[in-house]
Amino acid sequence: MLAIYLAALETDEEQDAFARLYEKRRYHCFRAALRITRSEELAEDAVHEAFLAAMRTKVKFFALPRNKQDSRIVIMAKNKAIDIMRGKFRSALPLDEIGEIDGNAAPGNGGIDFLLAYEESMDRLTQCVSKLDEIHKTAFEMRYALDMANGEIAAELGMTANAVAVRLNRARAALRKIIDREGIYDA
Amino acid sequence: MRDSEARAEEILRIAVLENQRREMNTVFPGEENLRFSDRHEKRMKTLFAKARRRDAMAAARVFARRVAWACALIFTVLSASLLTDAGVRAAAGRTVLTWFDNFASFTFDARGKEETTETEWSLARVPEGLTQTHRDFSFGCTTLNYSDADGEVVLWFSAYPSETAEINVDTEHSAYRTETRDGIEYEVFAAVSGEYPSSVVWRRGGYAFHLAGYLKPGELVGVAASASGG
Repeated sequence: MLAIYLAALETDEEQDAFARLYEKRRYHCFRAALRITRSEELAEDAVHEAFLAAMRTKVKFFALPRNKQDSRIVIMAKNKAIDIMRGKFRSALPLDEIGEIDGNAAPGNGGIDFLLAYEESMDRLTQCVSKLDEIHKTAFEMRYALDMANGEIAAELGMTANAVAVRLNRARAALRKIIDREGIYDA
Repeated sequence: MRDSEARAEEILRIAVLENQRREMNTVFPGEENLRFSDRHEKRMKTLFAKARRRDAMAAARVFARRVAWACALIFTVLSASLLTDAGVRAAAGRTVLTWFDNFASFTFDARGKEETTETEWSLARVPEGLTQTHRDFSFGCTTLNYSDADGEVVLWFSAYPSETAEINVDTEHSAYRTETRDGIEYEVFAAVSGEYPSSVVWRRGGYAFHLAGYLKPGELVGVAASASGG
């Protein structure tokens, strides 16, 4: 009787929202996590934890537009991968691969007016963004792709809003450094 | 935010979004044949199954709560509307009184009992110091009251010419037991404290008797056994 009622109460769509999201984005999440962990087992752990975290904030998660849900779960997998790497290999972590873990990078002034000069070179600018380390790239994605406020990012990453602001400033400074080093008009 | 800064933010947003789109759609060398392990697939399956169960239980709880509220509301409305009718109110009152009687009285089983002729009854053995202060014999019923030296009624006796008579006894403040003397079964209601009277009821010769008083239950049964008619 209960089963009949439940079947009537919840549509398949409601019941399997996460399962469908998993089917659709699992390899995106896996690849994103794998690029950080370099270990399939750890990447699987990151994917599992990302979905677990998304389920814990189900209402908030499904309040996002559908396209942002996809981005969000991939970014969550990345964050979980970074957390796993931070926890397991803190001392041996190659900073050039994973990026700034302890926030020791030069803070820079955080100004991004210099980007105005590159409006016509979006493709090259995108390539420079791709060369950012994962921590900075993920911070940018949360800020710009998901439109998350500093407070929301802070809650997601378990840090203060000020620390998020510092991280975003460092990410902008790192981007400028990459552009200066590689030259935006090279492509 | 300055216009130039807002514009620069927008340029960065576009670059980040484009990079994210490319990353999600790009399969780098070595990623072509990625497969999840069985362990991972199993735990994800378990995770979704648990989530479905949790959602189902949450939905069931919400449904049950709503049904309970709806039932309570319907019951309240029906009760309130029924009680506006005088007949219903009277019936409800009668039901409450009947319930109260059932809990506060002792009734002999009427099956197979015969009616009897009218006989006046008396008590042959009454404790010393008690005097009879009331005696009545009408319609076959005998009523006797005995008082102590202060004039307080401490013992009262009733005999009814029918073994189906209903006798009111305080069953709430007494412990029940039966006692048999000379082949007659006495139903004894021994008071739990001296504040309340004890009672004995019994049947004999087509009569039902009730003897109550502030005596010890054993003593009360002794007085009851001394009842004689004619």
